[in-house]
Amino acid sequence: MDFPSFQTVSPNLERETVDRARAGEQQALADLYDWYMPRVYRYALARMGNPHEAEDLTEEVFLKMLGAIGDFRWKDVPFSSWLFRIAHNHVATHFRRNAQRGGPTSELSEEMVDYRHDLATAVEERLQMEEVRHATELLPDAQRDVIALRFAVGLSIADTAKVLGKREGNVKALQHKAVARLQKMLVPAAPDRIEVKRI
Amino acid sequence: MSEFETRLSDCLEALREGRWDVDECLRRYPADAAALRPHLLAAAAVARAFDAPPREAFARTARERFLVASGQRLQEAFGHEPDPSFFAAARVRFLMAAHKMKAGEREQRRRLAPFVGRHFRGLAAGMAVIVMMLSFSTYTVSSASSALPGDWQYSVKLQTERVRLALASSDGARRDIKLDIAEERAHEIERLARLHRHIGQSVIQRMVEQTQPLIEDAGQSWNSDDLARLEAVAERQKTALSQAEPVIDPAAHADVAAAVVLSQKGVALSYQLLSTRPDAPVRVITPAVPLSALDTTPTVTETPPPSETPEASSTAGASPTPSRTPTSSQIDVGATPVLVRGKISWIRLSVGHIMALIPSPTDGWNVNGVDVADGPQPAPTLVKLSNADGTSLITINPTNGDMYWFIAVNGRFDEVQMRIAQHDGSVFVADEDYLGTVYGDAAAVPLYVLKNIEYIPPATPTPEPTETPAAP
Repeated sequence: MDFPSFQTVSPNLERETVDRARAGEQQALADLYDWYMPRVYRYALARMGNPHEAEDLTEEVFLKMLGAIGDFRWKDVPFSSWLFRIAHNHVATHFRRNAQRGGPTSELSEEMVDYRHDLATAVEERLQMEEVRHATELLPDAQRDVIALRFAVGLSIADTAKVLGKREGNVKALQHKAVARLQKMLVPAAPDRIEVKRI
Repeated sequence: MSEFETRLSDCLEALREGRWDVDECLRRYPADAAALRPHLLAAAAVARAFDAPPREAFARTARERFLVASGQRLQEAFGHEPDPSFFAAARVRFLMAAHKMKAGEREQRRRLAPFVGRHFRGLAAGMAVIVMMLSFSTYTVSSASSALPGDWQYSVKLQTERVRLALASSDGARRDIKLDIAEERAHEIERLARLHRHIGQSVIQRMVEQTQPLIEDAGQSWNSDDLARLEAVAERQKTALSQAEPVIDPAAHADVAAAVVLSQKGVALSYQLLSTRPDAPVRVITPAVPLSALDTTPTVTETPPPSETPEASSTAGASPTPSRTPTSSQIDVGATPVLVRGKISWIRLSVGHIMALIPSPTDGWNVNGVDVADGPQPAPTLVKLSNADGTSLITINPTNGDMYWFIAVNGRFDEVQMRIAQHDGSVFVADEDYLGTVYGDAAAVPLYVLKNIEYIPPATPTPEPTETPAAP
């Protein structure tokens, strides 16, 4: 079982595109949107737990990006860290508001597994993914944030630290605690598979 | 940070960058391989679980809204029009001017239509907009796109939608936009409900008025993606109405009923049309109804099996509640039917924190890996119950009672999330009417299993009695 590949753009191209976007070129904004939208959505899905709220959050992040990109400065953080900091702040605001209101129940996400091949295998995969997502929702908020940025978005330790405003050592420690906790919830069932441990 | 933590961190970074796979990590650190492996597998499972693309419909409409907003933003920030050669520039200008069109649009069309004809109507509208742009003042269309009924920008949003329709260049494009609009109405109701904002009659009526033509138009000429989208939109509308019930104006109840009937019709029609198509997309049905709303009244007379003494009550209106307490570590499938419903004999299942009724092996249903004759056995992680021809598979989670039903339909497998425990402890179940509409008689067994699942929470330890101090 391997990691999915995370689509990235070269730093030079990203820098050039961000500069063009800041100068007011609409195509550059569209390129940034196309590159980052799937990753912002994955982050939103990992943090919000359901696709509808993830969609709302994704749109809000990019509208906020439009309003703020003029203030972006290269000397502070990379563009990706800056963008995901916007997303992180939106999530924090969302949970704060929800806590005040009591919060809605989360819905189950729709699945992307193709069931045409084999019912039993597909069912196993489907349930496994659902349970893995559920397991991440049981993590403390700081650990969950690190897991979302590292494994759903694919940010490096350094960039994750910049998004969260933490030191790299702190991020590594949170990552280790989160993975260790997940590992206790998810036990190996076969050399390349995991299944959910009954608690 | 310990040496193990450093190695784990190195491995995770290499996996993320695609430099190593799990095996390579283990080869490089053989002394820690046994400890690293479960950590790496867990991390990889998480990465895979969130490797999800957004819905195609969302991706398309969200991008369009972003482009509209970016055009507006650039104009505000730089005081110039977006590059006219840019692919969305024309649409951006049209949308930005939409609110100005409200009064003039009809008049313009009436005047121009006789001369330019139907096919040039879009061009005419565009010209009208460009003329109006000369006196156009800055307006935040981006905020209108997320406006809700009752917001001052909402009329702009509706007008924008009308402009999009007027400018659509083909029937397919027009249908896309109509589906977007119908879905947006459901989305608005969901957001209003989340914000605890009042929903008036007009909101429901608008959704019905904009969805009805789509359902009337749906037919064999539609491609499978559009039909699947219609089905998803209709289902989303019904779910949204159910969730919004507490904030819907009581005066709108008749309209809500009409909207529910319409959404059911949309679901049934698209399902019927899709069911004959090999390219139909995979269907996932999520739970929409609180458990408390589940109707547990049997629709068929239940009788005890003729030769056995029933172990549980089978009176109408009440579930034949099992009386034994399950042990969390074992599965026990009863050998003796406790009742007959319709033509099916039902037996007891006791596993984990769950008691349930399931159809018996004599009716072709078996719990995978469990032989009834063997008595109690170690509980599986997941109970899997399948029918004789392998077209239906029911799974029950012994820990929390979550239940899924997978059914083969025309070469594909639909997933129905029958019963799902939410994180706040509430339980949502599939909509019985909906399943009946879509799957007919095939839904009878899973529905009856659903109605008879009983969750027995873990016993809480009794606190030690406090000693009463002796009287002096």
